[in-house]
Amino acid sequence: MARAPVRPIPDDHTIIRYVSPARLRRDGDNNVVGVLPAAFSLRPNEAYLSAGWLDFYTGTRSERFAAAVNDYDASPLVVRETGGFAVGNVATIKAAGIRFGQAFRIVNEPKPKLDSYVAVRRYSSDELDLLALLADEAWADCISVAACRTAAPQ
Amino acid sequence: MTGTAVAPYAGGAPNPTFDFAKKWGIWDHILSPAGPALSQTAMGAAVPQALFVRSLNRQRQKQLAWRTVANDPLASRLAGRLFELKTLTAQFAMHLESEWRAGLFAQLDYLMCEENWEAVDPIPAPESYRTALRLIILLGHVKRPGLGFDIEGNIVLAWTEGADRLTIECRPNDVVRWIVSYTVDGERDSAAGKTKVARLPTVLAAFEPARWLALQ
Repeated sequence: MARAPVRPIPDDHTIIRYVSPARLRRDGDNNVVGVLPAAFSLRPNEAYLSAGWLDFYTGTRSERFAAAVNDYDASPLVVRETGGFAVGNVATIKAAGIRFGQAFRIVNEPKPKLDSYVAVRRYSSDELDLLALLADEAWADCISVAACRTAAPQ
Repeated sequence: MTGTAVAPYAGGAPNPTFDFAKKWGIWDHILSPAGPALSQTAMGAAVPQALFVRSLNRQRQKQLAWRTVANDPLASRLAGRLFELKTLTAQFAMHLESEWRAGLFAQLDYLMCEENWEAVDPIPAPESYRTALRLIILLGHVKRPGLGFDIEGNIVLAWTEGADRLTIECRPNDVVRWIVSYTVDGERDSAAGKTKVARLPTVLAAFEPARWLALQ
């Protein structure tokens, strides 16, 4: 079976990264106020940062979020209702990398049942300042998984 | 042998740890339908495997009780560790106001449950939590932080005032990684570093930490 083509994501497009409940930024009363820098850490066995291509889908913004969550549900990847998605613009994320000498390669690498899968390659999470820049500015918008479902077809 | 709600050490001598777990309300969780299965020990007693229960009772504080859970399910491991962290907190209780501590426990309860925990993440380390408690006590009466965990299971303390943020990753042996980000004249500035708990107040002093830490 032929492999799905790998293609770069346009700079003006939006990508999303699933953030587990433990890596959402909270206030002292447990309200979610963003994402933690640790949300952008690579695990020891990860060669790239995984994400999703929001603009792969069509429709309104909320419809695109709903479609993305539906695809995640059908794929082997697990997204929890209490988790969230960090939302960022490709050009802004690349610019953050450049500030730390990293030229990210952000590409669509379709996976089984998840055609919108994105890999952020040439990415190193060793720089704590970079993780903070992503979490606090470049990739800082956050939407809960539950909120993404509001536009999901019943 | 699959689990049914039978008392541990069935038919044997009274088990103080079982009584303790019942008292503190964790035994029902251990033996819940979704909980662990049971297996036979060399003593012939049905006990769950690999659940670590430390007694809060002062007289037994240094006694460690190991229970075995055949499948070692995530929920039981989290419950055991949560209990251990709360027990550790009790050692510092005199320094923490009850309401403050209750809010801390509520966050731990929320994050350390099967529904909110990623199975691939390591269970939070008591050594990291101990560092966090020592830091909180060193900082004095401060606003309660938001909690999180990094991919290594270290606890993360987060204080947020709009775009101004202080984040501290607590590692074992009093080591902390800190990050501050704030806005000056419309420009974002940030700094990060690694130090020991005792040095952190001095290191953060240049960033006017009261903006994050001061109680309202």
